[in-house]
Amino acid sequence: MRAVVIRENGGPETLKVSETPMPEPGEGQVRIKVAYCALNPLDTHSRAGRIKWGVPPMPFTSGYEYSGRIEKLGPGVDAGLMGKRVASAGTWGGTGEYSVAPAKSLVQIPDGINWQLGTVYYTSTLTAWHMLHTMARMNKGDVILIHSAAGAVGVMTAQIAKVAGGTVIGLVGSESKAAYAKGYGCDHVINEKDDAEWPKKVKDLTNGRGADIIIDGNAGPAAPKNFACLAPLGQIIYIGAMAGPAPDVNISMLIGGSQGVRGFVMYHAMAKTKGAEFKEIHDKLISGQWRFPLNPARPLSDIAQAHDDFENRRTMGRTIFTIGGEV
Amino acid sequence: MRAVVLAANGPAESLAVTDVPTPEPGPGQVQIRVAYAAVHPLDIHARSGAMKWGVPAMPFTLGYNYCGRVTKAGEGVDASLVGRRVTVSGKYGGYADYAIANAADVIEMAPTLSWQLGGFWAGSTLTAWHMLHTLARVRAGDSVVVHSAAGPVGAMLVQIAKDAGCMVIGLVGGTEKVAWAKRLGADHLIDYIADKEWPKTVKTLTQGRGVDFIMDGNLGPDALKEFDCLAPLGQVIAIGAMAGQAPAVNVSKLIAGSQGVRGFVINDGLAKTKGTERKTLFDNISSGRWQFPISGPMELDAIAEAHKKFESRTTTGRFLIEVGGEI
Repeated sequence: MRAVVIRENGGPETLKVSETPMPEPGEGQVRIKVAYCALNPLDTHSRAGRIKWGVPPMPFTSGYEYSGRIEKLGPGVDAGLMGKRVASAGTWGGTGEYSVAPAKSLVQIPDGINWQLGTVYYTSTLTAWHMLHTMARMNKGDVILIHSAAGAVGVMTAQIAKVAGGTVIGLVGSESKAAYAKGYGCDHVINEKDDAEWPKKVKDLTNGRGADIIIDGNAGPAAPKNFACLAPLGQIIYIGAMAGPAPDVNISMLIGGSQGVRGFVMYHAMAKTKGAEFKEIHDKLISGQWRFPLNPARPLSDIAQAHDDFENRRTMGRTIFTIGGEV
Repeated sequence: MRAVVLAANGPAESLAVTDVPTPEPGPGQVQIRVAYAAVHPLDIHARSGAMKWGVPAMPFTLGYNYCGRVTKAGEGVDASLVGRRVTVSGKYGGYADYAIANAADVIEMAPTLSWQLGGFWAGSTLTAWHMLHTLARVRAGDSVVVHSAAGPVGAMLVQIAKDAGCMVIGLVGGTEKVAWAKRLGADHLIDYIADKEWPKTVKTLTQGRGVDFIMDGNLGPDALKEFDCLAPLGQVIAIGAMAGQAPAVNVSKLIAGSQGVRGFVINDGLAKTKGTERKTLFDNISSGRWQFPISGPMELDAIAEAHKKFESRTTTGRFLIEVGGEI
């Protein structure tokens, strides 16, 4: 079968579609005929070697966020799962025509959610929902500042925060992204490319208080700028490090301003709520109250270009690749 | 009159009562006949020189938290304040027969409370309540580790967290404090002197999960060890560094474990709620539902011994100095 296999860390140009053996499901596993695979930030991090944890040993098949139909069951798997439409949740392998995953790790795509939305809504929407509700315990009236507000997590965070009574400020890197983020409900958008003093702008927009919750998937050496616009009792939630690791944090420096720094990976939150959030998420996506920022599907042969676009911050919303399509 | 004047930083033994002129109130000020004063951590820090900010220029009279009766009103102050029982926290001057305070900084004591309770319950109780509710936003079912559970803030954290439906593990130093702290109602008490590996014990007590919150006013060089017993999505909430500075925290590690660290000072909590919690707190204290722990008092003349006793970490609750006593 065809797949994009990561054999060594490198740039986007190292991504190639090649022939690999068909995987067989082991104990507790199923084989999935893949429909669509999204470009998740973890795909770029694992290719480039930016993350060390949670990545399978090489060689492994790229594709952290994908959908498909269960077409073969390993020993010990409930026979009722055969033929079900599922999305991955924390397993890799979505750029192959077939993938294998533990049956228990998969999420069934509800009726009313099509294949393409079913591929992507899950990770970004749950990440956004859990950051705001399970982790930050946001209250009505909180001010939420979102880095990369035109990305999939950013767009979903804005919509979920608005429904929960928050005020949302989006940070973006271009004018077209500013318009995009505003279209998804950000109350204010700041183009940080134009304005290195963006923390001051956040303070101005909040009567000098700053944001209660800052969500940052970029981090990097400039991450401490977040502190300059974090309100007392506020928290910075790091969900990634696209711009490299953030500098270490001195705890004593947090005390005087009642500030906080937290990290977040979604699967920890899911273990906590055991799915209580799904009803709201499904209802609001199916009714259209929340709109998922999904781009037209691209062929898998575009993968190197898509990684390059993403890493150079030319992407808005979620990119997906057609693997088997409407399986 | 008697006063403990700090003229140079030094050990407890350097403190002595001296005879100084009785101070007169200036415009906007009142003179207070002091009943009791506390041995407050900020008195210790100011004396030793560990704290550089928020300390008056030497020489000045120690006594960060005290209560007494207004004996004179300065120019521009409502004369009816004379004779009232008041408490002052956050300004020095209480280690003396008479103190001078800004009229705006005195809080009138409830007539139903004794000098010892009425003068000292509010600071620690407000700190504990705001840490749990305004900052951490605890929910029923959360688990909380409380450092120094036999101290005034710790004792209130245990009781208020229990009232909020939390599972509470108290850390105390020594078997006597364990015996004393049983009255607070913690689910578990750990003697951290006997159990150097207490984070492991916390993990065992939480079936390997760890806790949602660690309330820590100690920090110190070993502080990062406690992240080992912090659950995913958990937070260390730091309110001081009695044991010295903590090493810097690595943000990537926080992300990997979905952990966090936040600082807290009471003024930020107070500013957020504007006092809406005060009646609830007062009701719980005056009804005895929450027991505010007091120890001592020792005589003002024994101030050096009192500081020494506090620093030996053998006191429980708020440790008081008797100045005028039941005046």
